[in-house]
Amino acid sequence: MRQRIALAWKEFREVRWVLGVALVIFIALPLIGGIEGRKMNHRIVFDAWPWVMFLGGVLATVVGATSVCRDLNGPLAEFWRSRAVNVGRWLRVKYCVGLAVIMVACLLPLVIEEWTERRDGESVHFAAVLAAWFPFVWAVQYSFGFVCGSLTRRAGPAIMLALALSLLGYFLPIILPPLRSLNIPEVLMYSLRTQSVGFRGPVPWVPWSVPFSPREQMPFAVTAIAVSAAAFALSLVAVRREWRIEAAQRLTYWSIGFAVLLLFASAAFQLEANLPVLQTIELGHPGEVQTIDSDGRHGILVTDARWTSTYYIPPAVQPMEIAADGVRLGPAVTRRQLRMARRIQAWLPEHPNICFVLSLVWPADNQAPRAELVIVTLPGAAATPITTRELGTSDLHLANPDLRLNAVGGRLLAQWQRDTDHMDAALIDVTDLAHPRVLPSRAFGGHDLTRDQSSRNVELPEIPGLQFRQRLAAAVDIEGLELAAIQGDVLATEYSPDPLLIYRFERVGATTTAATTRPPHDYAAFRQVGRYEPTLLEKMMNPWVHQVAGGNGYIYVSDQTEIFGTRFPRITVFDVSDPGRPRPIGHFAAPEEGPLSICPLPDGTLLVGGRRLYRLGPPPRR
Amino acid sequence: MRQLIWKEWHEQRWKLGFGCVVLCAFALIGLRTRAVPDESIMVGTCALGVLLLPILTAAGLIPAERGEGTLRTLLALPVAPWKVLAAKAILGAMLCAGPILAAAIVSLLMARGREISNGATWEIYGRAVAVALFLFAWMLWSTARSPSEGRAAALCVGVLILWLLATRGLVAETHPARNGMAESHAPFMLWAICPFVLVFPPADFAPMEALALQAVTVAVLWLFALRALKFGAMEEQS
Repeated sequence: MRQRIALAWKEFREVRWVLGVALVIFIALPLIGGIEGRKMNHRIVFDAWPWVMFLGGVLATVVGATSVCRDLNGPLAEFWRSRAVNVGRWLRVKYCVGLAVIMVACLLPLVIEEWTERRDGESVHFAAVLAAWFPFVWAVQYSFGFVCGSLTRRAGPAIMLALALSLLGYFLPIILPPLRSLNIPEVLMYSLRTQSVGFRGPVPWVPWSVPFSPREQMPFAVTAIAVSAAAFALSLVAVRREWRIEAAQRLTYWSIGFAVLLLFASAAFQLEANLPVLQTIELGHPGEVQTIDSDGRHGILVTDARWTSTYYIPPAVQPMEIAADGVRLGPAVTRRQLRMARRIQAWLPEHPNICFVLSLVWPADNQAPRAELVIVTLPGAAATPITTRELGTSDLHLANPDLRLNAVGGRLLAQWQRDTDHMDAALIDVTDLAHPRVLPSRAFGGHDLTRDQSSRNVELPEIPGLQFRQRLAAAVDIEGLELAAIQGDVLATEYSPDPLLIYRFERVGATTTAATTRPPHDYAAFRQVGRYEPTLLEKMMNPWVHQVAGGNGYIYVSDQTEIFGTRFPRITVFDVSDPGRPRPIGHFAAPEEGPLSICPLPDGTLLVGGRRLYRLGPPPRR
Repeated sequence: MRQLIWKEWHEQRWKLGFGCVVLCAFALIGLRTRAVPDESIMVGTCALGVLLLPILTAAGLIPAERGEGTLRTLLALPVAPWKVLAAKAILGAMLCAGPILAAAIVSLLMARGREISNGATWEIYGRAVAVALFLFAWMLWSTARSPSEGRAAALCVGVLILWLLATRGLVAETHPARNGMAESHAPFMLWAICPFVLVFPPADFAPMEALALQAVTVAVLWLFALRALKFGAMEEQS
């Protein structure tokens, strides 16, 4: 016992500098920051957690490596051999004292923060959550340093090797889905979500009320303890058997290079693009594709307006012909030529050479704006015959200019927001291009009637002569269901960072006047049957969805991520043949700056528009 | 001279292998997986090379010899000191440029001009080689009197940060419409000695003129490094 105490005292004397470092970095620096921010916060806010979270692991690695190297290198190693001290006992005491000092150095600032910030009234403090879970991370990093020190017996290479190991230990679970349960950010998130599924009361080893989900969080804690114990056992064997790695500079460089490449490869192969590029077509002007409409033989591209530092690129409409040998684009018709302020365009397969544009014109005498249907005959930018047909103000509620135009069953459906809850719609018959007619139509809810994720009721617009599928397609395209797509009986909505939810069509229902304040109408009832949870890497990249489209048995999702100011647009293809288990089977990343517009074609290929137009082949069969 | 280069080659060749493996693997994985556009992968590969290779090379030439105590022996040989430094500089240039060129070849073979042309690919990597060589010249001079490799590496990191900050200060604003040209009111001579001039060229950039001035800067730095090497050796002897 006395020998153990003596050894512990000696070890403590040698590692107590860590407490000094912690006092300065983890307590004094946050305190200075708090005093500096006193004017803004009206009090001293002690935020130690960022310092502890980011530097605690480095400190643990350094202490683990240096404490063991100090006594195993040079004459001190001979000295210890000559003493009547059991190597196992000596190493155990060394390990435990170092670990205890690290824990005190890192936990003390968190305890102070938790104590000073209690008056905030938040139910869960981040400092308390860190104090509950980060000791496991520090223990692993300390053990990595310890085992690397035992094997190399030189502090510099041992620290570098341990940092490489820590890098792998920290990031591999984030990148590789099978190691998900070992991912510390995910573990922290469970404790921060007070309403977690599987919440079973507070974490038992901290005195604060930190939410605990044993099923999700315990594997992490158990694995961390097991890894630490294994590392210590390895260092014990290495010291006893005189195992030694000649830790030259080369080993250090190669190990770090290998760790970085392994992480990069794991991340890259998870996000790899596998959709073959069949054709790349230059647009011929500097616009960026906003929408693509096509029936597989003809179509149009609409490019968005863009400002550069020196000039303005007006929006444009461009005709498109699709043949077996490829896609051909016609000359662009810029919208500036059409003198329009706010307008929406649509394309009908029945009139392949015409682009319909809904335009609002404000008279000079401050009267109510009037709607015009502009008919643009494509192609021929210079000599485009543009004809305008007035639709009249009486038929369209034009107070709110949030107007949209869609092609529905050979007709045009104009929609606009009447108020926060209601959409209005007007059907425009363009069978006779010389005399387009506004057909009488009725108010259109346009909103999903349910708020529950497990089912969705999609209101169907009352359009005479339309099949159920056409009404459903029109309904999906309206406000509130923008990021959704129909593929057969399957409705897919939303995507990362939220899951992709898959619903299956169940029945057509009808509302009663008692249910809503509006007249009764039909709706299509869907029930949720599956979901795709984005991987941690996908969540980390935090993309926002631009478009969801369905076709050829797949759901296509176009999203965009921004990392350090650089945008990375991507397309993900989901196989929904089994709606209960949607699977990502294809990816595509294009060298573009803005989000990508997509249009699945009946031949299985996919048109993708950015600053160029790409025709992509179907995803590989798996 | 050939023997000196042979000696340096035998000591440093693993770094060439390391640089080639890391950069080529990075380019290969990135271009194979196509998770991001080809140009981003190429620029990333170049950035890795430019940030890593000059430090790795410069810290391992003179300071490593001094740290191990072999520099005195080397300078005591019947060889002019400039030849010793020239051999080190030649090999250093090879270690900086070799991996980036290898990555360029891998990129050309993998991408085959699918997103950006082969000419543009060569331009990206060519600029990276030039920047790496200019940085190496600055680091060779600044570490010529360093007593150990570790301290030299820290010094190299300092030089790199200094030039990155200086470049940021030099570049007032960049315009995408002007093809990445930097809008700067800094004197042209200041730009001329900046290692990153080829990455952020000023608006009135004349490539050949700037390259000629960079070559003069590199020659002057090499002379400074030679002087530092000689004085360092004399100090050690005294």
